Amino acid sequence: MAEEKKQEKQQNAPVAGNAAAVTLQKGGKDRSIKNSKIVGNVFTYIVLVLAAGLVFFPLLVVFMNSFKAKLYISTSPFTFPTAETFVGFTNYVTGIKQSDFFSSLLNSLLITVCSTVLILILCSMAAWFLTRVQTWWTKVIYYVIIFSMIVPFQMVMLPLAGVAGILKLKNVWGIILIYVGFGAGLSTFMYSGFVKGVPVDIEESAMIDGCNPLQTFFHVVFPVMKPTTITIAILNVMWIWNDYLLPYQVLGTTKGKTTLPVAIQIAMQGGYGDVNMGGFMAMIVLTIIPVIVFYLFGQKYIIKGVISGAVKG
Amino acid sequence: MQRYYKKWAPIFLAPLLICFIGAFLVPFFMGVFFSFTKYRTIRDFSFNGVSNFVDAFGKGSTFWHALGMTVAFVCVSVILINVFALALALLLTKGLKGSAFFRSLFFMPNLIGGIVLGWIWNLILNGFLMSLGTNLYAKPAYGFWGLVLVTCWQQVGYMMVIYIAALMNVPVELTESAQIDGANKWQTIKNVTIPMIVPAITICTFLTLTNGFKLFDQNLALTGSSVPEDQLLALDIYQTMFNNAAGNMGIGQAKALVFFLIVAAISGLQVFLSRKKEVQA
Amino acid sequence: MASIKFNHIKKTYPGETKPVIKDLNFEIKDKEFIIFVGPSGCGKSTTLRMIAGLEDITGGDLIIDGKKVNDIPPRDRDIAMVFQNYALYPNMTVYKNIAFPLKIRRLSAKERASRMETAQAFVKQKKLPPEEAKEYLDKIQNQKHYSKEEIDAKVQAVSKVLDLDKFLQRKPANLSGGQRQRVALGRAMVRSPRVFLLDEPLSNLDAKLRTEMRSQISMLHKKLDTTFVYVTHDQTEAMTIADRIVVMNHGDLQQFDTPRNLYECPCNMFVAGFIGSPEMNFLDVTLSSEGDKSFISFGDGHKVQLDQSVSSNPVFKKYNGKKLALGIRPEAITLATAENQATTAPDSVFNVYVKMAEFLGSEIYLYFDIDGKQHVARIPSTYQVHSDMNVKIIIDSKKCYFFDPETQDTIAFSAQSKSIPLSF
Repeated sequence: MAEEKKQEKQQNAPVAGNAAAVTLQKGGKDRSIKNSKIVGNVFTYIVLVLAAGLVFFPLLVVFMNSFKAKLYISTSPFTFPTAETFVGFTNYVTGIKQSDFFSSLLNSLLITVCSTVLILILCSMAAWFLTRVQTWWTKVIYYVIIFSMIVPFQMVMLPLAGVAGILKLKNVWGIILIYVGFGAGLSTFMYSGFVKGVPVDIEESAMIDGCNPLQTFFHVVFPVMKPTTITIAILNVMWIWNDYLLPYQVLGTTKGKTTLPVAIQIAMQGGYGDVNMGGFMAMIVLTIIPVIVFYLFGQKYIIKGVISGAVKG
Repeated sequence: MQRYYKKWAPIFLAPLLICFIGAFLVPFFMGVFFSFTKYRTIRDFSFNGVSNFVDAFGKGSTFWHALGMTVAFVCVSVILINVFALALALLLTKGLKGSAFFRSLFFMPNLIGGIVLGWIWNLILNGFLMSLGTNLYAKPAYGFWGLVLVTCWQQVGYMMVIYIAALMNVPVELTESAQIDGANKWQTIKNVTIPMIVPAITICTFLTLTNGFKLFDQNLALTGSSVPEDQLLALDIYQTMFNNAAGNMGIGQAKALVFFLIVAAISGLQVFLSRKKEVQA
Repeated sequence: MASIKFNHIKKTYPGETKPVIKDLNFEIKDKEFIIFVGPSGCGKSTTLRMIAGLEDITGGDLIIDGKKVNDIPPRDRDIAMVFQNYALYPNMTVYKNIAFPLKIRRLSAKERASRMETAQAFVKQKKLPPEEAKEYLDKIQNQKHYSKEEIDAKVQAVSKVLDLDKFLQRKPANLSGGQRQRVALGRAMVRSPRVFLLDEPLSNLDAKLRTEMRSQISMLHKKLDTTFVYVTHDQTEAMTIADRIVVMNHGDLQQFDTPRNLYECPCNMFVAGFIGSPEMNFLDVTLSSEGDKSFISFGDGHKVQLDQSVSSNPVFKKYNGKKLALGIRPEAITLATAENQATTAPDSVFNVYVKMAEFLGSEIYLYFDIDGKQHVARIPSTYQVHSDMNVKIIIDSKKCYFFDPETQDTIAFSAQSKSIPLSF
């Protein structure tokens, strides 16, 4: 069986790479083809490097400016910090203090993690049940949940804020429940697709071995869907961490009691006192760092998630 | 065993449904209802018939301008994003060294939130335009193209990843046989590769389309209410809700209802077209 | 005690009008090895799954050990099942797979009571001080699941029997088909259930493994001394290991009997044709009688006198002048040779042209036509018979089965078709 796996691995090498290998073999004969290939590759690399530069550029600018004094940010934003413009970490200190950055960071973290965990558990359970039990009312429930995916937030924003107020949900724990309600659509949809890939006979075996449906789900079905869970977790984290309008409506703008995107917006609009460009630059850098760290660790899964998300969509 | 399973419905469905009904379903129907009312708060509203809609879409309404802007924006951004994404994808599937690194790099901008992104580019574009003696808010065109730039920067990587996956699934034999038949690189791409990735093109087109229509955060951060002409639909609706002289948010809600119908129509079209393709395939 | 009784069991899938199982009535005795056999779609798997509780029963009663179990979920029926695709839990090691049923199960009231008894006896015997004794008894009292040691002991015991010791830490993905099958068996055995269900467990194995596992399963049955209910489409498998066989077709029970009885006394054409390999040959004949002699006429004009042992059956009177279906097993057809010429009734000899002869070593299968239809005969290979030659075969009415062509029920056959006890 190890032999088979090795063979499979060789066959599954990226198709593009295989194509290149073939053309290289053919090009070996003809000099001119080889030359034009080299030129083509150089050109490609130039384009790629330029594009990469375009990606880095904005981030670099912000990073540089976060170390410059406020005045110089507005007057010469694209220059490196020089001896006179460099202010060390003052911007960071003032920025953090002014917007109570770490409280917002904590809120964002807490809300994102808790919402995602709840969504994963509740949506997987619901998706499994709705897929395995085929009656008219499971179909209806499924379609209603899916329907929520196409409704833009503005449609429900105002009534939701009102309802949240009435139900006393305008706090961190309340917003977590609201995110579960909103995240239900996409996550349930994606889980349903993958539940169909779980063989029914291991569930039947678990039922015979003594499990009730809940035990069957958590001991057997959920572990088998681990890759799906990772994908859906990432998609939800990406969405909730960067979300602006919902926390703005539900949590408001009180310093320290809201999420990062809201804090940023408020800071820039002068909500925390006069606009401190330096502090603001620092805040942006600090906001991006967790994202980059998360990405560095989870790249593989994130990109896989994007692909399967698109295919299912 | 279906009978046995059904008894467990409450445990499996209730928690999610409670959150779903409370946080989405009820507000949704309330939203539909409120678009016909003079709506100040959830306890202070009065029935208004269709006058909200008249205000929303009639004379003096900003809706149509915003719609026009949005349509223009969507057309431009869909084309630009997909062209760049596909071009990069083609470059990164040639098997060159470092392709994986570039792929990871180009995807990264997508992770940065809309608000943050909007402000980053606001700063940069303002900085750039200031050296030319003007700024981002001077002309609506600046805001428009700035928004296009931001959106492209953010989404090209995402679509590129999808295109790369699709390109990798094109069987080598097809491109090889095309080359044996005498086609050059460009002809191969045009006549063989691209037709094979049509499903991905459809998916990416619809993704960029719906993303473009629903764009809000970046719009708010980049130009916000400073340049009312640059307000796309979502932002326009938002402003209508909160800037109404009489405090009647129902007008904005009415706009939101129509907005929802537009998005629903697009999604419906997508499902219909992809079903049709499935049948053909 | 685990008898299983089907009482007017009916099953229709929701949304469909035609029932999949029409009206099943039979009883499986305790400790029997029963096999459900039949062609694809006959309902045998569905019936097995109804015993397991995986399929709902639309009508009738399913009674296990005297208790009606229709609405009892699978986990409370004290049954174990081996699936066709083994259904091993992919995220668990072999050890965990086998241990799983024990881990999940709560001790029954009876088990807990007996443990308390044992614990109290132990305390008395060891004369433990009251403090320790109370602690110990409390621990036993609060024990709701099997302890880790108990589970380990049982898993080790089972894996020894099935030769799985070396694989306990592997995951199913790294096992061969035969190994996976043994793990599935182990998982079913470890709980000592009162009924073992097996759904085509050998279908996914290669031929050699299949014969090996067949005998292993048979020995397992004897060792465990529990009721086994087994489903297969392979009638050879059924014949070799079953105590009794349930033959099914189109959701109906055709015949429920021992392998020998099914072979010697099939109750209708379906059973007659299904059991035995190669299939029984069927021919259309017409019955006629002259005086106290009866004759059957074949399509090609051949007329054979029926042996007394057959024609004396009074039921034939009804069919006088009518068509009948005649069945004769390939192994019952013999060659007419110089040696047996004296004892053969001349009218039972047929001249046939051998279209094809398959040489199997000890036997030859002859393919020939009678009346435009192809038939098979199995003859010993002592004679050099080959394709493309004419031979004389004997169709002995003592070995024939007669069926009503409409109802397909068996009408009559000679008592000489039955086997006799061995005597020295």
